[in-house]
Amino acid sequence: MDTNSNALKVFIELQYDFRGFVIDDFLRNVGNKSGRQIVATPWTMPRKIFGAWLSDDEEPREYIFYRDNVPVIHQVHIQLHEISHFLLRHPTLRINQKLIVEVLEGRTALPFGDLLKLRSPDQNPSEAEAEALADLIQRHVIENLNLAQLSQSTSERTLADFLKQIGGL
Amino acid sequence: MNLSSKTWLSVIAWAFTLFKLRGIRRKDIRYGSTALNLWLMLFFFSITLTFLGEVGGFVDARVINNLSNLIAYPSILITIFLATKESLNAVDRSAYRRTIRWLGSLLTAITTVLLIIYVLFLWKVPEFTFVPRSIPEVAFRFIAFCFGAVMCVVQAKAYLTYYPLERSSILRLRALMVTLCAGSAFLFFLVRIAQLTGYFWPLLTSETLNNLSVALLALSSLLYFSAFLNHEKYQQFVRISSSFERWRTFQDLKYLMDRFLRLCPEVVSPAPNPSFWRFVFNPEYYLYCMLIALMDSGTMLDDLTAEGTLQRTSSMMEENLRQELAQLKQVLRSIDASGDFWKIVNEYRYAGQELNRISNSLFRITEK
Repeated sequence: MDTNSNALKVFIELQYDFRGFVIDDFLRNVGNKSGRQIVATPWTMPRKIFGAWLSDDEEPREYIFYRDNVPVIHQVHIQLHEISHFLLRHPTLRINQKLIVEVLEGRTALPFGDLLKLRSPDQNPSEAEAEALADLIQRHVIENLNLAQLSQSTSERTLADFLKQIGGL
Repeated sequence: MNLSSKTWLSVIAWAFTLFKLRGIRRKDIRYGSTALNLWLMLFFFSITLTFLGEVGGFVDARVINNLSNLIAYPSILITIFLATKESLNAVDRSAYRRTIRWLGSLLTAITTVLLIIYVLFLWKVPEFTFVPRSIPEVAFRFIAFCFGAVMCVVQAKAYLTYYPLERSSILRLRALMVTLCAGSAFLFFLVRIAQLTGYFWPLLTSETLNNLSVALLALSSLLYFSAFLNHEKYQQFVRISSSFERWRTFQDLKYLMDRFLRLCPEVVSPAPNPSFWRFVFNPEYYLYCMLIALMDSGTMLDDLTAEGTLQRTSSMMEENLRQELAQLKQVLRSIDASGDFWKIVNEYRYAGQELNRISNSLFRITEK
């Protein structure tokens, strides 16, 4: 199965309603379906790394780390890319509670150095696949949000409803 | 417009009316809902167009003189009254209650007066021509046109008040279409009133005035049908029309990306490069992808600069390229990437334009 068709297959299996998309809700939904808790955390990432996905070896939990020094829209994009790796069942590093505690106490750093650097689809087939899935998700988010945005809000609610009714008759 | 084109308009009107009938439910008929009134507007408008065309002439010739006018004039007044009533109800039912009641009473009174004029005079006179030939004919038309014009003004005023408050581009377009329709109908009535004065001043019996009134009738009809078009059609229209402006925005963002490619290709993330027609059907998506690619590239540029990797490269650059890179970094630093999607897109757009402006001015200085 090629990169795009695998991404498409996973996307179809998502069966998520993209109207009113919110990243937290999306991650929760993915977590519920997979029986894993998805923990997304903004992090001071090493240079040239945008985000990372690590899997908990002991608990049913997945960790997504994303840059804390980029705009929110960029952070959402990074999270979508990382969750796509998880959805596509790519291999990743496994961590445990002991390491998490040590990281929180500042005694060690997360093993980002062992992950692929640069979120570039040219570098690795799994990166290209994750980018393809993230792209599909974004496309649907944009299509759905856009339509809602175009029809949204007015101060004269009733006249807006009347105008819609003219078109809906 | 000759008679057959009027007939064509009426055929379109009836097709539209019958098509929209499927939107009417039994409860709409029982409770006299807005949906029913909207459909009745179409129904009476179709009757008006039918009796202004060849059918009217046929009826007048075979049944009784000017019967078509007795049907068509009150029908158009009922059409405009229903449109005005529903619009005012929608704006503010309590504030316009008295206006609606007045207009309703006037409609009843005027229809009665038209009927009286018809019974007393018009059934005996020849068929109407565009220049009236008797005082009763002038009175009949003048009363109807004045009332029609007044209702158009009332309706247009309601929409003009609402228009600046509306934020949705689709609903703004819908409101604009109704306002234009009311405006065009108002002008039509004004021209027809001017034509009536031709009875007293033959100078005003010009054929041009007649052509103008027919053109305004056709324009009003088309705007009227457009106002009833499906909401999805409006969505598509707004999408495609706004895509042209968004394409220009995309080009400004692309200019920034081209700068990245020229000055530091090692930091560039893959960016979309759609054709215009591909872009038009999904502009938000391509703008989003370009925005993310720019953010990726900007972040990488910062990282490499902090790491010192880029400085090694730039030390080998020619002076003018190093200067361009400094400008790029400066422009990127000025971007405020907080706020909603469109605000961020605009920030990047201005950054692209600014960089273009600086480069052009530098180029001019170098040329001198």
